[in-house]
Amino acid sequence: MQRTTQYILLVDDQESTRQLLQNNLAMLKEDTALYSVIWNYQHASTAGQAIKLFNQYQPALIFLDIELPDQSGLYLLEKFKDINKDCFVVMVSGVSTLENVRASIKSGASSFIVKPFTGEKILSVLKQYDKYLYQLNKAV
Amino acid sequence: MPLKILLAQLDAGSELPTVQSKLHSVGYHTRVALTLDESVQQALSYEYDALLFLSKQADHQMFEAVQLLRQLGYERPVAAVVTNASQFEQVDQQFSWPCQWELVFGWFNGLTKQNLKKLEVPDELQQMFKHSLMQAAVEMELALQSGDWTKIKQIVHRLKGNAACFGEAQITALANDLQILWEEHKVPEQKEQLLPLLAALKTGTT
Repeated sequence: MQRTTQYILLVDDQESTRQLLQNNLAMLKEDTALYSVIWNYQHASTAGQAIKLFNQYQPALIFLDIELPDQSGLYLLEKFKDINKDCFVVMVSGVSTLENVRASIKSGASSFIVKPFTGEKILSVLKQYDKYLYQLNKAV
Repeated sequence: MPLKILLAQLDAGSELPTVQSKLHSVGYHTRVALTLDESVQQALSYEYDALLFLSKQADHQMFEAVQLLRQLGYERPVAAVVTNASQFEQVDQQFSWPCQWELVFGWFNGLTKQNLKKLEVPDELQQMFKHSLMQAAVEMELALQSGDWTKIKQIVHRLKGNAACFGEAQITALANDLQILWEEHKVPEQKEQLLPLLAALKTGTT
């Protein structure tokens, strides 16, 4: 069976946080049906970098911090969805106010993780992403 | 470990204290949420094994909370005690008023304690983070010297989000306290408020 490759974009201004997320995504993916997909990770620490990488790689899955040094993550989310409505964007925030959650969903976010990360929070998102891919493929 | 239940009543009903003491009497730990915002926020912390809504009226807020949580991939068990049980598949179990609490306890007892997946934090990342704490302390002191509170607040916000991921829960808590002080209680910013956080950044807490 041929294994497909997907690009994953991690957007956070802290390198250690991006790396932590990447390590745990790689590990937890093995617990889901996504184990057969090869993931190629791209990192961005600013909104500017993120847009560049998004245009270059067209990532299927994006983890996007809601608060970036140069731009709001919500603005970036809208940009991403304008370019590719099928990308699966997970907003990441230190605060889960209903305002943030609603604004994220309204702008097209598929999921929302509240920091600090835990294995279960990441795994829940991966399961959700897996279901989303299944629905997307069924529709094609 | 006893089950931890998030208990939410979003309508004007007054059953919470009674239900809370019933749950305590059988050894469960509870936390109460009285608003839609609070229930979603607390549920997304993933600190609770299950969510129990109490609803005396047709409670649109409860439906909205559950819908939002499910939409966001929240998979933990959700139960509701409602006046008229209806078809609402996003709630795992519905009970009716007057409630037979033995049924509720039986349902809770059938739940397995959430098997928490631990976050893997390799040593090199832990070291990288420790280094970033030192940097944050230096940045914060420089910002203090120039009175740049915007910068200080950015650092505090960053620490709040990240420190607990690396086992530095106390730094996250201190940063959270500062944000509450400045944003909710509107207390003017002062250097002294930062001292506990600065000390924790320099020494580490773990």
